[in-house]
Amino acid sequence: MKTRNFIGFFVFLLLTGMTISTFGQEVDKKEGSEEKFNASTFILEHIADSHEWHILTKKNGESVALYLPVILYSKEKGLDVFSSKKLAHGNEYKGYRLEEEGELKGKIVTVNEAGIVDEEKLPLDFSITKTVFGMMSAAIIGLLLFLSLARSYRKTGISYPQGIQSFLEPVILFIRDDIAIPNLGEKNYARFMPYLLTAFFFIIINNLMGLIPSPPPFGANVTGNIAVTLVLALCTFFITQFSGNKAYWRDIFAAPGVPVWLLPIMIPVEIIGMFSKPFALMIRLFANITAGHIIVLSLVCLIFIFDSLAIAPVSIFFVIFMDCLELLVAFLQAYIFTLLSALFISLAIPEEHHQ
Amino acid sequence: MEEQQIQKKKNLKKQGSKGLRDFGRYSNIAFQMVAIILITTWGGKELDKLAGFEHHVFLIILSLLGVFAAIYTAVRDFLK
Repeated sequence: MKTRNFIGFFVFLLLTGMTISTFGQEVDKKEGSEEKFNASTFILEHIADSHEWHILTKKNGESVALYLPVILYSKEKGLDVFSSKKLAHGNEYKGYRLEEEGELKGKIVTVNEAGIVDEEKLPLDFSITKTVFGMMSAAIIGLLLFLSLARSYRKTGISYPQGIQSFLEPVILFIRDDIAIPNLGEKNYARFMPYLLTAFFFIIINNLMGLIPSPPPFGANVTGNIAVTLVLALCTFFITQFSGNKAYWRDIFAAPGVPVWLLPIMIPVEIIGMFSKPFALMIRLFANITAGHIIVLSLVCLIFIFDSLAIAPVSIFFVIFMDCLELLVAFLQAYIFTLLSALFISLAIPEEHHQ
Repeated sequence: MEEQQIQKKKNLKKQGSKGLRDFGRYSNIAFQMVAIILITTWGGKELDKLAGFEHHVFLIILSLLGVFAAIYTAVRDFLK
């Protein structure tokens, strides 16, 4: 047991060290080109989505990156699929360019022959970006985990848990017994279990993958991307609205006990409440994960801001501490998202509601 | 004797998960208050822009409504 703990701790240290060495090489490049180190752009570049997956920069300034496919559609040119390497370093390809400055920074724009951006004819971008790639990898990892779980159940039947079963079974039972049944009731919970389990494992796999700094597919800031959390929150929103029963809609449009003259104020308030619940879900997950990443990156940046090796041990110590905290946050946020989804759904089926 | 211990353990587990559940519920109330005020204020600002008002009529009405709605939903969620 002690050996296992030790190996775990060693792997953890290794990963944290990797974060710092990866960042270090990138900063070297910046210093080499005599640019002043700018922590905020450095941090924002790391948490933002991008078309290429930067791994490290060699000492000679050459960067090692995973170039992801770009998929563009525009009315004039139709569908275009090519590697993002063609657009690297501000190059133009097939009349497209990846903007590096200004309002459209990070977006692919259409340029005319003179090299001027045509802002009215922006292509639709369906590219496999860093976030999308991270998400797909999480889905594959999830599938591998659960398909192997299903296979082992088929083989051994319901017996004492072995291998991966002993890790996943308690988590699934925890979601059923501590989230679904207390909120949704014995009668209804089974209907919503597939969604709750999917949301929980999708968030937790992405959170944990985001904590591992490198190499791809690890280290994408998936759950810290507001578009991803928006879609997750929309799923909860639609499930809540579509499973809402008569009593739920009556509470919104004609709440019992509310005088008629107050209804013009109460109806908008209730409608705002309808949207604010998933909105809060979206903001919470996004803010928690992004904040964690920003703190870890800022602590690493301290070394380069002070430009001194003496800061490094302090910085590493705090990064390790923050990583431990982030590990807790990764579980907690997945739990809270699932719990609140179950709670919101239970509020939409008030007659069957059990507390 | 053993049964009692098992029951005790179960109760402890229940208390723990209830604490976590309550944490989730109550922290959500605060987040929801912020969300409501944000949505209504932003909506008011956009409506003012759309209508071309100089005096921010929608902003004032909607942000006040937002504060009221936030307090109302918070109190209602507390009582549930």
